[in-house]
Amino acid sequence: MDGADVILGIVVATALAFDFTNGFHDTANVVATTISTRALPPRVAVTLAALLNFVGAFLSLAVAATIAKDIVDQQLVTTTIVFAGLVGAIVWNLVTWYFGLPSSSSHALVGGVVGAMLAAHGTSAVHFDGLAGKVLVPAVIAPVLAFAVAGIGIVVCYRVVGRLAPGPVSRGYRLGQVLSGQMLALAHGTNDAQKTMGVITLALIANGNLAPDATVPTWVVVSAATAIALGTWLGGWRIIKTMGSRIIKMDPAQGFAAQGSGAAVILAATHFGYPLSTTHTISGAVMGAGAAKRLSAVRWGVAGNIVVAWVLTLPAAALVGGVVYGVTRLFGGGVAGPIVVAAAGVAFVVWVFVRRLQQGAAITTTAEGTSA
Amino acid sequence: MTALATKIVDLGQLVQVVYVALIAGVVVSLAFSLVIRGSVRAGERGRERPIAAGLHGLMAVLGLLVVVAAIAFGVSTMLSK
Repeated sequence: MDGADVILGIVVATALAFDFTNGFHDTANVVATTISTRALPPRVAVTLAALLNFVGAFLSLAVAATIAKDIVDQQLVTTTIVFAGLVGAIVWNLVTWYFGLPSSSSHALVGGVVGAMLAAHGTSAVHFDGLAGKVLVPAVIAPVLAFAVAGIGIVVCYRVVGRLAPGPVSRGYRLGQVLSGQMLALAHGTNDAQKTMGVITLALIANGNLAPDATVPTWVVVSAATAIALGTWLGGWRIIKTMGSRIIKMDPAQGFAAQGSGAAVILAATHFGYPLSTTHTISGAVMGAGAAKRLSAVRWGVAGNIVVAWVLTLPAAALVGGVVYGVTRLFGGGVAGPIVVAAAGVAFVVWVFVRRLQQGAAITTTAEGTSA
Repeated sequence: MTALATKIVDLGQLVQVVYVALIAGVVVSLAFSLVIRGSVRAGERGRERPIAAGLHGLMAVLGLLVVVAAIAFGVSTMLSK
C-alpha cells in the first residue's frame, strides 16, 4: 500500500463519516412529524426510517453521477482535493449544528469540494454551469416548491375532510403518516446517500482505481447506505432521549401533507439528478403546511435563520474547503497533510460535541409541529 | 440572457420537476383525504343508507388505489434510473 492508497483510505473513511453525520443530523427532519403526531411510537419510527434510508440508497444513482461528473473537472481532481472538500463540509456542518442553524449537508459537500478545487486549480477547474444548473437553481426552487405543494396539499385535505368528526380523521391521517413518513425516509436515503457515493467515486477516479466513465461500484453503494442508515438510527435515539419533549404538536393532516409533499419534491428532483437539500425541502414543506392553516404558526424568525444558512452554506463551506486544502499542502504532497488534518479534525469534532452537549441541544424548530 | 439561462439550466427538466412534484403531492393528499372521507361516511351510513355507504366505500377504495399507484409509480421511476 503506497501513500496514495493511504490518502484514498482516509478519504473513504471521511466520506463515510460525513454520510453518518448526514443521517444523524437529518433524522429529526425525517421522523419528527411522525413522532409529534403520535403516528408511530418513536422507536418504530426511527427504526423504519433507518431501514428505508438504507433501501433508498439503492434506488437511483443519478445524483451520484451529478456529484462525480457535473460540478468539477474530473481530470484535475485529486484525492487530497476530495479530502479537503469533505473536511470543509464536515466543519461547516458542525459549526451550524453547534449554533442550531438548519444547514444543508448537500450544499456543504458541494461547496467544500468546489472550494478545494478553486484553491488547487483556480476557476477553470469548476463547471460553473453545472454548479448553477444542478445545485444553485434547484436549491432555490426546492424549498419554495415544497412550501407551495404542502400548502395546497393541506388546503385540499381540510376541504375534503372539513365536516367530519375529528377523531376518525386524525386516526386516518396518522395512518397516512406511516406511509408518507416512510416515503420521506426513502426519498432522504435516495438523495443524500448518493452524495457520498458520488464523492467516493470521484476519489476512486482521481486515484486511478476507476475509469472516468465508470459507474458507482457496489461496495460504495452498500457502505454509503449502511453509513446513512446507522447515522439515522443512532441520531434517532438521541432525539428520543434528549429532544422528544421539545417536539411541538401539529395535527396529523399537516404532518401527512408536509411529509408527502417533501417526499414528492425530493423524489422528483432525485429522478433528474438534482442534489438538493433535504433539510431545506422538508423545512419548506413543514412551513407550507403550517402557513396554509395560519400564518402565525410559522416561526418566521427561525425561517429567516434558514434563509441565512441557505445563502451562507455554499460559500462558507467552499472557504473552509479551500483553507483545508491549503493547510494540507503545507505538509507537501504526501500522506502527512491528510493524516495531520484528519487527526485535527477528529479532535475538533470531539471538542464541538462535548461543548454542545454540555450546553444542551440547540433548537432549530421552523414551524409549530416540527422539531429541532 | 434567456439563451444563457437555458444553457446553464435545463428549464424543461426543471419545469418537469415542478409539475411532477406538484401533481404527486396534491393528488396524493386529495386521494388519501378521499379515503378518509369515504371510510368515515361509509361507517356512519352503513345501516340506514346502504347505497350511499357503498358509494362512499367505493370512493375510499378508489382513493386508496390512486395512493398505492402513485407510490408504486414513484418507486418504479426511481428504479429505472
